[in-house]
Amino acid sequence: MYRFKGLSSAFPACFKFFSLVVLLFFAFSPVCTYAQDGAIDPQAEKVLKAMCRYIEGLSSFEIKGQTAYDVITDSGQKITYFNQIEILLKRPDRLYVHRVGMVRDQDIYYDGKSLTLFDRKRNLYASTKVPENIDKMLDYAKDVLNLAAPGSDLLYSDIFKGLTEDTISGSYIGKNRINGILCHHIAFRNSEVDFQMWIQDGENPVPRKFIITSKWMTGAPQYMLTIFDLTSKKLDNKVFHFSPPKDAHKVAFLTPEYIERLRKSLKEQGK
Amino acid sequence: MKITVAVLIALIMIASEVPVAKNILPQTQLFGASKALAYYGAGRRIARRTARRTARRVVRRHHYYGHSRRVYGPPIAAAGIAIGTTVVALPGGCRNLIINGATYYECGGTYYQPAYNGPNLVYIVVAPPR
Repeated sequence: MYRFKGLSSAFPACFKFFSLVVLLFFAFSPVCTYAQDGAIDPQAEKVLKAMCRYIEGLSSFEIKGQTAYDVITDSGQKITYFNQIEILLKRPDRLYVHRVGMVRDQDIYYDGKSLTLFDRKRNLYASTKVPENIDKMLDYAKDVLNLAAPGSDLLYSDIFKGLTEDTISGSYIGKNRINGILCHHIAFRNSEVDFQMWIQDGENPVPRKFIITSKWMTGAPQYMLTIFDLTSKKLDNKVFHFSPPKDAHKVAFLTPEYIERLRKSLKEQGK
Repeated sequence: MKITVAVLIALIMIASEVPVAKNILPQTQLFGASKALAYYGAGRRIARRTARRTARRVVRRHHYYGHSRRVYGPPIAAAGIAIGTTVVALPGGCRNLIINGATYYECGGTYYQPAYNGPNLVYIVVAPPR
């Protein structure tokens, strides 16, 4: 009799635990389905596409703007760096970038064959052969040279594809003014980053502000591009050609080939 | 028991005072760099500049450069610093040398060669040029 009592009183406890598990399951499952459901709002897609097609349609243009990027120090402090930028682009194979800030004052020249980084502060430059068009060059610069042009997402020939290739959701937030210019505010979530864009309302859909959030990084640092001017402009090939100043020194890019060369020289010295 | 604990504590105290690898340059230590650069150099997490999918590329890059920032080879000492070590700033009192058209910095018997890792200038410890 005594044992039976104990057993029967244990059952309700079991059920309590079981019901808690079931409740927890239902509490969390909608979150998962919501993320899968997230689609691109047609209005957000329309605004983004208009911007992409507008820039893609310009055969050569000039961008003047500002970038701000967060660096999270080891102690967890967020420091934001600003750079003034100028970009000259001529499709399909010419690009010039100048960026100046507290840390660097550098030019990047791409003339269809080689890429040169000129460090004005130190009067040093590095140059290397790169692929034959802007798209391939940007990939190469990022993959091999560890070098990214400011706002490089906007410099590819198919901007829309690049921005939405792993999109989870896209929303239209509303209209707001950036530096006095009325813009559409859109917000997209990609698998690795979230991005927001403020795209000028009207005939010239210029992206006035572009914020990329590295959401999985502790401290969620952001990269922000502000465009003051984006103008269609005829550009001479000369501006993309670098001729080194007399007293400038050439140094190497830390490429896999460079590392391989060092390794070989070390082996020879070891013999 | 008390004696054992006391000995252990004494050992730990002594060990913490031992100048472990005192002559080895910490790999991202900054010498006389500006404050702005010091913060930048200390930053481990930098905001991504692109919204494009790049996971594959980042993984591959780490393969080359690694977290240890050792560029290559077994640890061969050159005045206490392993060849292939990269630093983001040079120690003080360096000489700028140009040997066969290549730029070197000589700091207390250690030779560094400057190179760009992306937009950042780094200095790689190399064998003395001949």
